[in-house]
Amino acid sequence: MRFRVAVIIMLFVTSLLITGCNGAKELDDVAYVLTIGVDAAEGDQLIFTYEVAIPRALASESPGKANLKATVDFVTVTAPTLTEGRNLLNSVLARAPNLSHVTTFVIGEDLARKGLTGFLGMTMRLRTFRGATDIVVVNGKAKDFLMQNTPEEVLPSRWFQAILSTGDDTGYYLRTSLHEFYVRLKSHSGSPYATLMGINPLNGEGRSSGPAASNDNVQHDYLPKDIPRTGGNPATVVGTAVFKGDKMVGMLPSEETRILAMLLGNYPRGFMTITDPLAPQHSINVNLRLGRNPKIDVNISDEHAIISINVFLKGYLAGIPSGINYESAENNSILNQQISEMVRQKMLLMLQQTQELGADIVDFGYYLRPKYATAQEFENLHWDTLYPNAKFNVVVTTHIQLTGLMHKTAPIPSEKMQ
Amino acid sequence: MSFKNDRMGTAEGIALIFTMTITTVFVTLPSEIVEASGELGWLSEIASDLSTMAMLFLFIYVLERFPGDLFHVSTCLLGRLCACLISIYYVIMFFSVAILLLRDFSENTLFAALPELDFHSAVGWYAVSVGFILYFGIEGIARAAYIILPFSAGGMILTFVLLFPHYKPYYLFPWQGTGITNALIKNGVLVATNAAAPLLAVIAKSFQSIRVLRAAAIFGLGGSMLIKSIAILILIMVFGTSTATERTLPFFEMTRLISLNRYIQRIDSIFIMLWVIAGILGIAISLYMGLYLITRLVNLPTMKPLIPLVTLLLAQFSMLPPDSASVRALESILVKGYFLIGIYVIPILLFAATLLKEKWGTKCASE
Repeated sequence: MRFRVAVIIMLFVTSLLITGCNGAKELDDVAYVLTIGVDAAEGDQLIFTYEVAIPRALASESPGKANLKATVDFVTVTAPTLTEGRNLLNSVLARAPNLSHVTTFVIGEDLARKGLTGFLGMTMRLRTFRGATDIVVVNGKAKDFLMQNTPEEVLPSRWFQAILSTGDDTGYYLRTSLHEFYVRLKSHSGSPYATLMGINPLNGEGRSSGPAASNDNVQHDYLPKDIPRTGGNPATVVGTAVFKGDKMVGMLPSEETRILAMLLGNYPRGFMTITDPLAPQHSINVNLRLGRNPKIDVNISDEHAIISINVFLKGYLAGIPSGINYESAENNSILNQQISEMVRQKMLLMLQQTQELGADIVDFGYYLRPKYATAQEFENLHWDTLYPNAKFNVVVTTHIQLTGLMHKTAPIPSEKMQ
Repeated sequence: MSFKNDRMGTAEGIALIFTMTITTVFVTLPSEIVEASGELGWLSEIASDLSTMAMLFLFIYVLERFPGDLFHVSTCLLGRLCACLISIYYVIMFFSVAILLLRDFSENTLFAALPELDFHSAVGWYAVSVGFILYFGIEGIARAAYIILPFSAGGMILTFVLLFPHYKPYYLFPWQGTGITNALIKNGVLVATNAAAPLLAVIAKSFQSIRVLRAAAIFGLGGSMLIKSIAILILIMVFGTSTATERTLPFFEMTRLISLNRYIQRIDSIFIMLWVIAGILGIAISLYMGLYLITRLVNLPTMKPLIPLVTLLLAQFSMLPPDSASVRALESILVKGYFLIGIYVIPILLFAATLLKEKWGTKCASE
């Protein structure tokens, strides 16, 4: 009997203790930080810009009426570490800062070029942050980017999540998580990369970056600030920040990022504009995707790496401004060749650039792993030193399978063209 | 509490051995295995588990010919003095397992779930919970373990599936890792990651038949081996060896990586509950085995009065190591040294004694 009474008392006490009320904080007592911007400061200091949600503003206004200034607050502090920055933030905000809902780390270019080791170590060690958190590098200052970002979404964190998840539609940027960045950083076979963002001046001017393929008259390879546009949110996501070790060493513009996506097997689809092979003054629009994962083989011969790449693209026609009947079997073959050669040249140019930077962001070393028996043998290879002198054999095959909703292009009567 | 024999069936046997051997996947051990064996860490786990299973079959061979529990069989085969020494050895072994689990799970709770909780309180709550459920006896514990088994195994398999987008299969190469002999022998067979597996022999009397013991060894330990080796395999594919070796709680980190979309993310909190329950049951089972052997040694009619005293003592012991590094050093010494006696030496000794007894045709007196 006494045992039963003890069990009942114990269960009663336990039910009181497991309610979660002990140590709980009400929503009104917590300040949720959504995004953290990090810039380099003088000495070993860092500038942290915290984007803090204001729940009251979100609750009081309908989403349509709420605006960024009302829903978030920006606090910038200079501190030597992330944890010290949080301490200082606590001295500024009446509520207790909670960093566990941070969805994106926005890294300023200066800090990225200086090196991220000190910053990354803390994000990987603390329970507050998750490997799934996105990491982006901005072409400029992180603080300026966060302050000038005026998204259409109610919350900037939602904007980051939404825009990063739509990178698949173009291949112009690749989503990078803290986990992926860190694993690449520590691996013996590849270099890390991160999504590139920046502020566009919105003056309608801009120019294409990066070298052009010889058969490409319609080159449009942009970094965030270079897209010729006006209107909209100045915050722009396009391109890739290239790292060697923990330091950023270069940037890939939009088209080169798309080529990187193809090589990573992460290019679901995208419209591509190419020079019309039969009427070079015109361009042709196609929608391409990977027909299968790229076949990559890496061999070491006389201490030189030979990298063989075979990419198969397939897609459909989206527009033929010249009016030439590329739907026909004969012309289709010419078009396929044109696309294949242009992509092949762009691929070689992109790879050459990464070799000059000494950063294997495709992770070709990964494909060498099965060719070594032990971890020690593979580490002794020192892939990073071999990559800059590697030779590439690139084969690109294209198959324009579908013609869209038009199965042929009828010519415009000549008298109407006069 | 008096001891009731022949009450537990296959389900309880499988649940006991599964719960006791799966708990290592929730602590730092998978990272340590990857550090030692590199890309072949999964094979080290299989080697360690299979060798333990082979030793369990030696125990079963002995128990088939000389029915009873470990204490009785040792007395019969090696004499009372040896039986006492063997029992004392296993008491220390099971209590060491309980101390290490208590410490590990208390620390993990601080890391993963309740960072503001005082360490001593965490140990205290675990100890109180363990002490409390011990009063229900091994049958109750085994049945509770059986209830959570499908959730625990199913949850882990679901985690492995949801991690699919992060798989990098070539991270499993170079296939020999730090060396095949190293993985199979030094970090496999010679590492007693399943120190508590001999529990089947300790309480053999409580099971209905030898068939139950056999099924528990095959399906309990086999199932746990499958899940643990797959967990290490996936840990390597997701993190790569360099990053995997850094992680304190690799399984927890894997669950934290799951973020498929706006709706399927942050599911790690579910797993915290799962491993806390598995941890408490694991500590309770180890503690029960130690207490059972003490009661057999000194011929006590019940272990009940010992429960609060021993639980309190072990909780105190678990707080003695000054930091996590000391705990891991102690753990390494035990799994690569002391625990090997219980896994290999004693079963082989009893097996050899059985063969000799059979050869000489001598019988044992039943209890």
